[in-house]
Amino acid sequence: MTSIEQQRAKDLGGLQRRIRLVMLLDTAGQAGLLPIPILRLHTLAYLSNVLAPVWDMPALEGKVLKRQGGPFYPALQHDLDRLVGMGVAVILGLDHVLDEDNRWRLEGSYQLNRPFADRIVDRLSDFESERRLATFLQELAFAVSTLSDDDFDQAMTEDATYSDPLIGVGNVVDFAEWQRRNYSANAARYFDNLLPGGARATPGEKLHLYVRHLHSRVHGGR
Amino acid sequence: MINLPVLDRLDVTGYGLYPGVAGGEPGLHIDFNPGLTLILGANGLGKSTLVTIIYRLLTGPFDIPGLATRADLGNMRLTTTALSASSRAVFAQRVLDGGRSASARLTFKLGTHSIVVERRLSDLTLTHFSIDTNPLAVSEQETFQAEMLRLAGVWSFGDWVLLLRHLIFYFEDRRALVWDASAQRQILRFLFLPVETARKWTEDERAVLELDSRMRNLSAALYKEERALASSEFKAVAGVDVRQELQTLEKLQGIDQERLERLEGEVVEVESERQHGRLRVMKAEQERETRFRELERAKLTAIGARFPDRSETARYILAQLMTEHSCLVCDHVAPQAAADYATRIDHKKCIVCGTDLSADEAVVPATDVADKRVERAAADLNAVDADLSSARQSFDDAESRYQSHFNEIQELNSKISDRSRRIDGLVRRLPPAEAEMHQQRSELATMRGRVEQLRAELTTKRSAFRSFVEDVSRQLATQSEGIKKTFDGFAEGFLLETCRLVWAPQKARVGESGDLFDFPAFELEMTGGDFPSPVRRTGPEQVSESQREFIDLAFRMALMTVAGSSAVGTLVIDAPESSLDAVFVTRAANVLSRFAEPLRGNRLLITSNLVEGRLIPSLIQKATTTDTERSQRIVDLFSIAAPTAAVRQLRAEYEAIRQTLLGTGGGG
Repeated sequence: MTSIEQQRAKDLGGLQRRIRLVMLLDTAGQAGLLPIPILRLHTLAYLSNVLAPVWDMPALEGKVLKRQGGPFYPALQHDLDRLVGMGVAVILGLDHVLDEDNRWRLEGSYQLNRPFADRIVDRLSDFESERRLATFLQELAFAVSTLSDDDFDQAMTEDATYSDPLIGVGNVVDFAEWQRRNYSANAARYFDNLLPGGARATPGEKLHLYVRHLHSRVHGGR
Repeated sequence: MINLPVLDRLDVTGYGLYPGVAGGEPGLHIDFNPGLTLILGANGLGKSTLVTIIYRLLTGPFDIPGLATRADLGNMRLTTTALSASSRAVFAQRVLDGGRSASARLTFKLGTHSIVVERRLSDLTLTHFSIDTNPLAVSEQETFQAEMLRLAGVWSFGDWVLLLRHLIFYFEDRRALVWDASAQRQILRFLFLPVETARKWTEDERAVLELDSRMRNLSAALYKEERALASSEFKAVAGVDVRQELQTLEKLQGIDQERLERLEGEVVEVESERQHGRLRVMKAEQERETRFRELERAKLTAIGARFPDRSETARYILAQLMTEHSCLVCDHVAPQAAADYATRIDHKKCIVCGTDLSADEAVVPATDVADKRVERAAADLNAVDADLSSARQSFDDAESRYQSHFNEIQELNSKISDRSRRIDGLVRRLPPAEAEMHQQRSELATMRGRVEQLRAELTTKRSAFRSFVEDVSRQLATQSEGIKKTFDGFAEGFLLETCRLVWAPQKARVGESGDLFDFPAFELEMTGGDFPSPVRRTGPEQVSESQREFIDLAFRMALMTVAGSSAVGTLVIDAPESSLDAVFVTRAANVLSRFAEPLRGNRLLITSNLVEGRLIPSLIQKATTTDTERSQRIVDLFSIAAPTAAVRQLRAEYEAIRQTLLGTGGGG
């Protein structure tokens, strides 16, 4: 690949991430999750990656570094910064805080700046694959909106992939880059086996059941 | 849970190396009280021999072949075999009379049981063995080894020997456990898994290894036979062309297969480089984000001090412009605008309208402080940017090595398979063979079928073993937090850097072929001069010698504390001062003393030459308060052991150093 092609691929990757971010924020808004604090947005992004196979879609990012405080994607944060600069997103309550490892991170909550964002969302809805993606993200956002703020913040301690004890903090959680070890999607799919009368759950139902399962685990259920 | 040996008493009698204190009881007698016991001597007085005697009392005349050669355990067979006659005579060779009447007796505990074992030093023969004062038959394998396994809670004598060599005894030729994934995997297996599971692991792994070996041997034999047959066949054919082509193809096939084997052998290393490369990039990206936010915060503060409007978005955009030189509004790189704003800040002017604010007394001091913070944060960010860039470069290199490796393996496989078909085709074109060749072909077909059958069996066994390893790794991972915390407790007293264990399963092959398995293991992360955040240290060469020794020591102590049934154990360290940086000596003494606090019940046995430095005084000072206590904790080989020529001639000098180190009234 030439350097021009590499740059183009990088730009396209960045654009793809920004589009998914706009859609994440849009669907989060429909589910009443906006303004959404930064770490929760990163968690939502992680869930949209790890649960994408339930919707028969590829994960946009197949790996994440396991941190004590939950998933955090530096590239996605950079894209959020860009969206703010373009006026597509707005950051509220901007602050810098020290996290549990005594390291600086940004704090604040994001929401879409509707006049600019709507133009993008409207155009996206003209395309079949983006409409499909939007439906998935919408179901995911609705499922997640049933969690209280505290439960949301603790969800990653119970997510089957992120909390896999075989991966220690400081290591790579790789569920779709070099290997296919997606216990979360497997767990969501497993709910098919639990429905009475041999009925099959829809992908949306699987997302809701998986989030309900997270909630139950957070509260000590098995 | 496992029971670790806790030493109580050692008696060595009739051995020329230790005649005993003049006027006292002949021989060497040590009571290992809870806490420290210091064996003090000089070269040739038998410090290391003493440690080896204790080790051999516990292993008997058995060992795992190759264990002491510092080799990677890898796929080594971990079963014990009897020592050779010369190895059994190791103590006999040190004295004139061959140790004919010498014996050593060790009293120690395993859990709640008190055990006494006595051996002849001339050949390590067991002469007495009792448990809780009940004498047992003096049979090496039937009683001694069987009882050690039962009381310690391990299933094989090989595990018992590994436990002694990798946890309890800290020999000079030791391998650092924290950087030895293959040894860690074995230690974690028998320390933290139930006996039956630990046994199943070893047996299943061995079954895979044996099958792999059989399959490969048969495969190699088949290949050889096929070549021999092809050679006979083309000798029988008149066509020179076919013969030459077959010869050439056979030769190329041999070269490619050799190359393929070599590449497959390198897969673990190439894959590991790639994994660590990716991890380093991801951690550097997180670090960069942190540093960037720190600088952004500093700039926001600097800008905020002059900002007439409180619009958060605008402030945020300006901070980004000045931090990254990129405009979030139009996505262009705008160094000039950034410089302009910086100039306004430098000249104490409003960043938006340029109004001179220098007269505003309230603003100036705040801005000065904020500006200095910006400079510091900017320097930090630059350093991290350089690290990120180097991490990306290393990862790209590792990734490209991996890809080229992988591509070459694929290409070779495909070439070998194509060429195989061509060779078969040529062989088929040969004239009808004689009866013997027909017979050979038919035998080879059977052999080929057998290779395929073995390969299928191996795949099934590997798959079952993979699931088993994954299950037990989960069980082991539940212990990892406890081990990490205990390690932190020991390491923080010694290291000034932030140092932590990370649960990081390592890839390894079982056998010489097949896919890689993820085996349980810890890795180490540590900060350093160039690394403000902890980074993975994947080999002992990535830390200093002092750090290396004590990180490994802290790791062993943590494993013993968490695994031991009553969190009590013994640590035997031969000559620790040799690798210690002078400034770390006091810290080392602190860590060792913490392990050896008498209330914990641990036994810490240290041998040391009479060398100047702070280690011995610090250890003694922390372990004792009175002369009596001191004499109980110091085993003075100057008065017990047969003096060497150096000791005889320089006794006064040794005594002077001893006085300096221990003060008057030292042990005896």
